[in-house]
Amino acid sequence: MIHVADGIPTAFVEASEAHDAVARAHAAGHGLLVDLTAFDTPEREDRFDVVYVLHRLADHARLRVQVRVGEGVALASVTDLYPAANWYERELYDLFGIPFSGHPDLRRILMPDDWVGHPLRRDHPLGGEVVDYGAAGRRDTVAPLVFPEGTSR
Amino acid sequence: MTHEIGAATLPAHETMLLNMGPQHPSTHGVLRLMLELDGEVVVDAHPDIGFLHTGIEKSCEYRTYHQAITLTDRIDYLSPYSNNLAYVLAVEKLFGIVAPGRARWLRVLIAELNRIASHLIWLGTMAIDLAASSMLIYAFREREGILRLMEELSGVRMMTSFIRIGGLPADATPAFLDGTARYLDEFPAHLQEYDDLLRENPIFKARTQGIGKILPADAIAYGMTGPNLRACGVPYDVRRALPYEIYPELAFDVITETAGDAYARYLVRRREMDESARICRQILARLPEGAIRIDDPTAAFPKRDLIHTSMESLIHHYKLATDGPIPPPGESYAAVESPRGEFGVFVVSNGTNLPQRVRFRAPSFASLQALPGMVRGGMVADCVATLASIDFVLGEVDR
Repeated sequence: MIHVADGIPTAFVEASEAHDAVARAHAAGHGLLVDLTAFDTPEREDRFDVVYVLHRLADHARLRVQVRVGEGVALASVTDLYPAANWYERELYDLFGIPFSGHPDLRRILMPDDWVGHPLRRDHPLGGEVVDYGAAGRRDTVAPLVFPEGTSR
Repeated sequence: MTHEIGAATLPAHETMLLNMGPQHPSTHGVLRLMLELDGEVVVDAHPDIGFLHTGIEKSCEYRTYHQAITLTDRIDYLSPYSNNLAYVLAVEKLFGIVAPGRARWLRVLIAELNRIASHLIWLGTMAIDLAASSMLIYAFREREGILRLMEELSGVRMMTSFIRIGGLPADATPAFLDGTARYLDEFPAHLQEYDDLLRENPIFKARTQGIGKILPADAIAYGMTGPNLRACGVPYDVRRALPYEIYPELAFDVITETAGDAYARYLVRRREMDESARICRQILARLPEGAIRIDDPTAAFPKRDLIHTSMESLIHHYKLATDGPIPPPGESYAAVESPRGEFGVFVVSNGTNLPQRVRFRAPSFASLQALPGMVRGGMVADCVATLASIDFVLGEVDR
């Protein structure tokens, strides 16, 4: 388990129980979905950590629900509990390629519709141009761009 | 499934699709809004975002923890200091360090000056969207004063980045502190001028009262924070709810209104400028002396004069400037109250000098999602007033 440095109580749950865990928090008064995000650890089989940050306005208690999912595994959408999750889940779908089942309108949100790949995956290249300064300190040599197969600029 | 909020949905018949933006001046950047119109009445609105997506979160993964500070300025470019502060607080939590007293007071002082500057821009641009162009001139005049103070402090007018992990890059100059005191002396008279122009102005009130209404339950469901949420009567302010830095020691009120319309949002931001000025005055009166950066060579740069005299300090400086600081592995979320609401930063460290993930939770992103419900059933012209009253910054919506 990853070290939590900020002191927010964190529940690590299985992917199949994620919706139930969030629903329990919702029923317990955590009515504000502060954040829904993810990070990628491609070395692992279940490579994505999806993170829900929930807030209870009555006493300002915070709760984090953290779920690990693998490539292509769909998480149950929480848009039925939090309308705010709509755009957050679209963002995760767009930038990480994590599908959400039961989402009303799952399509890209920030990247162009014809973009290939999911930019926030760790194995997606940053892009840009690699400048080879060369042994003599020359600044005019630009190395050719190499992108992995299946990705786009 | 759909969530209807605000005004009731009108029957859709013979509607027209109108593109507002992404180059429309009232969309404050590059928001594309597809409006479904029945005559002058908005039947539905579909925001289309992403035109300003610059991949800042991805770029942060290729920068050391210090280098990424300058990227955070560019997220919400109207209040760069809130972004700087939230990011640095998240990294400091990873290290388990806390900045020294004087630095924490100065950070809050700069953040509150930034809040005034941001609210001034909002006030001016909202007024000009409603065709009250003189307000813009007044608001930018006072904002210029704050930008000059920032230049005196950091050498830069807008993208100050005047913060470091473990403190501040330099102490505030006497000219900055004196200038801030003078600015705050003159500020209440300027606020009075704004009130004379707008507060009881019948045209302004007719354009904003009852426009873009949102109910508190809907605002919470859509994750709204900041002045937009407080204008519906929910007293949620990160500075009080989850205090950071020295806010518990300061006296200020969390401003709320109950109407939840564009005028209520105006009143909240207008009165928040009073409170920010009040906070700044308290800080100037009580600013403690002392160090402005912690003495921890693993995280914070050594003092400048030590670099010239101490071999260890020179090495530490070199390592921090090249490799960058290396926090222990872990994850950390830190939030601040930016002028637009809760600005959160989630940092995941894998124990190397580059972060595994840096996530920016942008308040405008959540507020903009609630927009369709706020403009449904209203007129096209009121759509402009509603957009302006939300006070979003596309830089942080798209990141």
